[in-house]
Amino acid sequence: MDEPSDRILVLRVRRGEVDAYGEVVRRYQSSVYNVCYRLLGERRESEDLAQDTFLRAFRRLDTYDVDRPFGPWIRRVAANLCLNHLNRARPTPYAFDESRDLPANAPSTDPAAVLERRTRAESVRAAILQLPPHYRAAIEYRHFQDLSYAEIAETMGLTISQVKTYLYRARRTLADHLSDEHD
Amino acid sequence: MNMTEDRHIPESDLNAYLDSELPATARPDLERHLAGCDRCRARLKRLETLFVTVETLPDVALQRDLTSGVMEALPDAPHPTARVLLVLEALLAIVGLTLLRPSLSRQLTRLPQTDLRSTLIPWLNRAILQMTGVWESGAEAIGSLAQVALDSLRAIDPLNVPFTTLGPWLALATLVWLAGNRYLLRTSR
Repeated sequence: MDEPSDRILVLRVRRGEVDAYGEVVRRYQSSVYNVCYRLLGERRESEDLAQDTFLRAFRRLDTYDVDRPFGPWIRRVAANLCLNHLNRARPTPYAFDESRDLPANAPSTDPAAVLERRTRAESVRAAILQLPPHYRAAIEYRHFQDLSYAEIAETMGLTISQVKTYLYRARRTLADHLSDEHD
Repeated sequence: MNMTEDRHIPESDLNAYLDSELPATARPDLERHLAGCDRCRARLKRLETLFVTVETLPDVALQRDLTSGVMEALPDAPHPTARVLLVLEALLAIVGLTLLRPSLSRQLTRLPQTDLRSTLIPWLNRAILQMTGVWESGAEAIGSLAQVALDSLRAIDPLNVPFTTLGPWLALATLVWLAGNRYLLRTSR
């Protein structure tokens, strides 16, 4: 039997079938976690924020338009929550655990290639995490959630001109960090 | 766009161009400049490489399933069956009170005459009358059939019903009560 669509699951949850939300969580937990991890860079904190994302989304499920895809909506909720969290929290030193933060799907088993990809990915993550929170969020919305300037502006409460500025400054900083790594 | 042969494309415009956010009217000028400017083409290429680098960042594996934690933290919603059982439970309580009222009143009058008794009996009688009044007004609204059912219920004196008759009804009432309070409907969540 076909699995129920996201729309059906959400409508069931809205009718009071709370258990249907479990399937929603199972479907989106990985992508929501990755949003949090890109923005926070710490596994435990990202898990907690991913969990909070699903709780917040549950409380706001009546604001979700069931005719639009669920994934982008919940990922945007996650990014908003992380940005608020970053704005409240004190900056913490960033450190990856190589053996722990493994890619979800390693496309090659060649150890040298795997190591190179991992090192490169870590450099990119580290560079993103060195950006100020609002630049980080702009990068997340644009590159990982594919939001337009207008959508980013609406989500972050900015003007389109500010979004444009945030993005090019964030990218310039990223490029500087990444070129420093190479030098 | 502020751009001539001598002045290069502003960085924000290169970004907007790659983001497909540059106004359509500004695009031909930018593309014309790119065609003739090695430096801006190289800047655009570097920016494109950065886009690819960022966007190909692999996902990391989630180390634990978040489902149970989320589901445990969700506010409880009444199970649909539990809602029916709660109504049944309420009805059962009203029927029980209606049945017990005459016997209870008799038992109370047998208590020794004290201040407590003189306060308690009228209070209990009023409370029971108010609660059973809901049933009675409901029965009136439903019609004569419900009134007949109510009268036959009143004719029963539960204290004089043999336990073999009362037992199964008590068991049923207990089951409805347990289910209504969700003791029988709890899931692993």
